[in-house]
Amino acid sequence: MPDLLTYLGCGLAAGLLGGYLGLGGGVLMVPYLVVIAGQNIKMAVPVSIAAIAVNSLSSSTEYLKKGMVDLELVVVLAISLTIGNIVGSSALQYVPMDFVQILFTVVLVYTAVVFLKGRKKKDHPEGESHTNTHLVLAVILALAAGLLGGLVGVGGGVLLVPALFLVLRLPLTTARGTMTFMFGFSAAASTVVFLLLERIDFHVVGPVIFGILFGAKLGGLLGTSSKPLTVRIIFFVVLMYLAVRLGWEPIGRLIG
Amino acid sequence: MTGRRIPTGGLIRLHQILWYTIFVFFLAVCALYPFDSDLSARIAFWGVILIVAGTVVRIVVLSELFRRARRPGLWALCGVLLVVLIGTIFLKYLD
Repeated sequence: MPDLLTYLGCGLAAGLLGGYLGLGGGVLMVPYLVVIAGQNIKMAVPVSIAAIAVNSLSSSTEYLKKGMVDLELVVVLAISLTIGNIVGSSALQYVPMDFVQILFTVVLVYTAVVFLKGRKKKDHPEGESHTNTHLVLAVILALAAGLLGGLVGVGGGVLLVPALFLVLRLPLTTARGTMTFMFGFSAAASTVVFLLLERIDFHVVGPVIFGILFGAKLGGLLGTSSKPLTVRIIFFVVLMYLAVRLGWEPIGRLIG
Repeated sequence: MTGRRIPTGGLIRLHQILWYTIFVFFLAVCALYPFDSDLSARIAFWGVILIVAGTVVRIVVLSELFRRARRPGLWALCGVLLVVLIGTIFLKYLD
């Protein structure tokens, strides 16, 4: 019974954070499962990937209801992010890991600071077509986010939400809504791989998914009605946390 | 054109149906967990299969929305997305 509550809590917390910020929630789920639930990281990752697919479904419904999902961009971004991710994870053996982690840390810190400051330019007008330049820019951003994410083993969402807001000038809620809708596709594909490899622990994934169903719904509800500054502050904390987690060891080796 | 111009009613309904179906599955998983964790794990397996199948249906419904909204480019991109995702599965599995 204590296990059940721990896993439910994991799903609930990850869904709340992920649905609110437009992220998958793996950034919280994996450390939670490893540190609090005492799971092996090789088991925690497949569980979190399967739960992320549910997070996408549950939280994006709230964004969809309020017209905060840019369906045109969803498909373009999903394809580019997935291709970027494949290239990134394939290139893993050819690039020095310390260099990649430090590069990603620098990008995260820069993104966090710029994102917190916000932007002065107006939002992209609602209901207006994206120009070809806009779409090409979206493809480049998603490819870059996917590539970097694939290299360090995190989803590209942490970089793509700020990029959609800062570069493509999407309203912050639309950037998050679009992300929540699309990350479910690649998560489902990875889930199939873990199913085929028999790496999903179904004793753990069940309660986590039940928790995430509610957490993501609540996160989506809160996310559609929250103030942009609040979202940017919480996002800043998450980005800085990731930067420290990824950059601590390689920067320590570089200095020491 | 942004997502607002494409009617999303069908997609929202699909999401709601999927949400309740997944809810029933995983409610059963949690209810059985303290008594028979193996049975609960077997139900969770089918729940995960349902989630994957639901994602494929989401892409199909999305493509249908684009077709009805006369956006052939986006409709074709949904097909590309499915191919890319299937390709990912093969690449990662064979790796």
